[in-house]
Amino acid sequence: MPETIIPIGPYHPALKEPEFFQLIVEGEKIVDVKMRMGYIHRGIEFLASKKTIHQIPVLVERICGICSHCHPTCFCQAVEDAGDIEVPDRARYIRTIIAELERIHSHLLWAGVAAHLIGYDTLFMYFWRYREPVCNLFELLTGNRQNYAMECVGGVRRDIDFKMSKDKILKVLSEIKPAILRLANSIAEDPVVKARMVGIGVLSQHDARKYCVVGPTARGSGLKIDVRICEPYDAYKEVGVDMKVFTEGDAMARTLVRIHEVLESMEIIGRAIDAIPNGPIQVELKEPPKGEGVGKVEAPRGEDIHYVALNGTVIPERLKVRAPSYVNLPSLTPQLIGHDIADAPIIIGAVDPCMSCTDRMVSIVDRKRNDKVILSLEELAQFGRKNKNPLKVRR
Amino acid sequence: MNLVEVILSVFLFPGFIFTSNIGLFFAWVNRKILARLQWRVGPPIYQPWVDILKLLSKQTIIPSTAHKAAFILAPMIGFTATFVVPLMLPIVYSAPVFSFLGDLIVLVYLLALPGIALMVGGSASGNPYGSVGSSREMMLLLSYELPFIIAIFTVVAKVGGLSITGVVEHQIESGTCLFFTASGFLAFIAAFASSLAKLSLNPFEIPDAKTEIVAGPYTEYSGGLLAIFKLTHAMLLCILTWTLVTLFFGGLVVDFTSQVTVVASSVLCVVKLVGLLFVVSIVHGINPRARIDQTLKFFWLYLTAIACGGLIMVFLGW
Repeated sequence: MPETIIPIGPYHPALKEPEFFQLIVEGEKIVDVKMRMGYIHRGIEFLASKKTIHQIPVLVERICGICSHCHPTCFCQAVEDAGDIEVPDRARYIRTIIAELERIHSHLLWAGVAAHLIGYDTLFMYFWRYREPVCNLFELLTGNRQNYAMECVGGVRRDIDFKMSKDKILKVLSEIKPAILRLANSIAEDPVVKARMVGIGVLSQHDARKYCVVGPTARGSGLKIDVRICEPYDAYKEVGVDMKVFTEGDAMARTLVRIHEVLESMEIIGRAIDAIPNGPIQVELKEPPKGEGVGKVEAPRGEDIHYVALNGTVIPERLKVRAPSYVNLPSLTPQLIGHDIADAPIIIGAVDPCMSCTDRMVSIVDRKRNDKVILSLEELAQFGRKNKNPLKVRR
Repeated sequence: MNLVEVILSVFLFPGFIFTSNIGLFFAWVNRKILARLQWRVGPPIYQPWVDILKLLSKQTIIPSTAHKAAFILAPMIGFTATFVVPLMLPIVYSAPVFSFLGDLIVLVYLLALPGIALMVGGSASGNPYGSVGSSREMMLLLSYELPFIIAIFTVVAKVGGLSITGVVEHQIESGTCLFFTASGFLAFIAAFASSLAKLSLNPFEIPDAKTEIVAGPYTEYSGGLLAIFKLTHAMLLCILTWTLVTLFFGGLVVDFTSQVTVVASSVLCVVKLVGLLFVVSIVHGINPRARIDQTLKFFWLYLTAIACGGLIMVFLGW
């Protein structure tokens, strides 16, 4: 049977962000996959080298619209690591509560998208309906539904009055909990959902280790990796986390990991609110820190790492962001090969890829000669002028 | 029947104008039920008409890679086949416009045509999504036609005739719908699942699976040609419901003995149609999309067995 190329992307209904997967298929079977990144590169790392460490949390919050608490937390941790800054207890607890609420909303969002990917729009609407109260809760606690702007180096920017909001938080969580259990049950029991998800996109434990996957993708394949437990930060050591691990390694296992994590996050929030101490919410920075620092956070998609190099001024020399999708995306190759085109969206979706977090560069490909080209700034400027295609001149 | 009557019945009632409007209304009911099921508000009642009018006012682009004649003719053929079907179905008070021996067989052929048209149109468009979509449509056609035809055979064997009017008359005379007999029930299950596949509704929304192959065969269609496909789909929603009601639920029959029976039987007709549509919408709403190989297996193994079971039961006298 002849090989055909089915493009998934750069703009495709299955992908919420532009990214290009070339599926090389024989009939409906996928025999090879080529990925091309760089469609939404925004130069965040470069921008960060122009801004102060007080502005960067707001900047890195925009790396991802969904895990918009993890990136600033991670950056602040990196700076605090470089300057040996001790974060007050209350701030650590507030960070934990916001992070766990974010995990709930992110996983529910993902579950809805996954249901949509297998054509189950009713379940999609239901998951997003129960995500809505969590977003409203964010508005109550931080003032924003997304991009909460809670972080600053040395603590959090805003205190939360838990005497007032505790009942509200617990009420919302207890309301959505039975609904989520019911929806989780409908995923695990429905024969057609099972047919679409069980045994689909299997990533064996060996492959998972080989591709260094993180987060729910790793935990769905039986790897016990969770930054909250392996290297506790914020208040996770005091509050305690129960790791959810499934060994099947298929799309269903990853779904179940996420749903169990939502339920676990609810428990964590309950415990954290009960144990939150009183006190200051941030420490004052006497002088800008100096040296190198690394921050690690368990984002909803996996381990997020920020590396920062500081030279004693408020502007960092270098910020390096390694988002979880960066390591999860290459593992799609062994997952996709051998499956149908029909399974490709849910397999790609099951690692919960966050494309805009991942993109670090734009590469220009000369389609006629089929190789990568590096253009100078002048040549790039020529693209804007009429009849001046630098690629043609070079050829 | 003179020529004017024939033309009127083809284009006005129960042909094109009537069926398309009822079809668009059914499309609205389907969308509204789905929306309420999904906790949404849903579209206003005029939305399907507005959609079609909007598409008709848009430019129709024919891609340079397409086979032009097949690309343009495919929607027309499907559309024509669809609005001929109601002429053969008995409606409310009268015999159908065209009634002849063996019209049930013609019905089966006409109901298969929209699917074939979609397949041709998709592969003529010269788009990779279109060709995958039409190959899926072909697989789907192969899977659902067999149980559908066996289900129709069951009805034929039960009634003992090949005419649609005969099926309705048999149900009136015996005083019970075919649905309430054991063999009729099994045949209905097979015909119902096949109808879902014909309408490409979940769990068989496979040829135009949005998240997998964009719009499948429809990908390159735009403007008027897309409007024709959409209209065909809306009309099929109406016609397949109507066919199932005719074959298994006693048809749309109004009893003219007194005023009370006229009202009661008219209400019953509407309840039958909308009730079946309701079931179709609910099944569409509560199911994800299956894969094409799973669908093939489902139809050939389980539904064909069910349909054959129905056929055997007829000969056992159930």
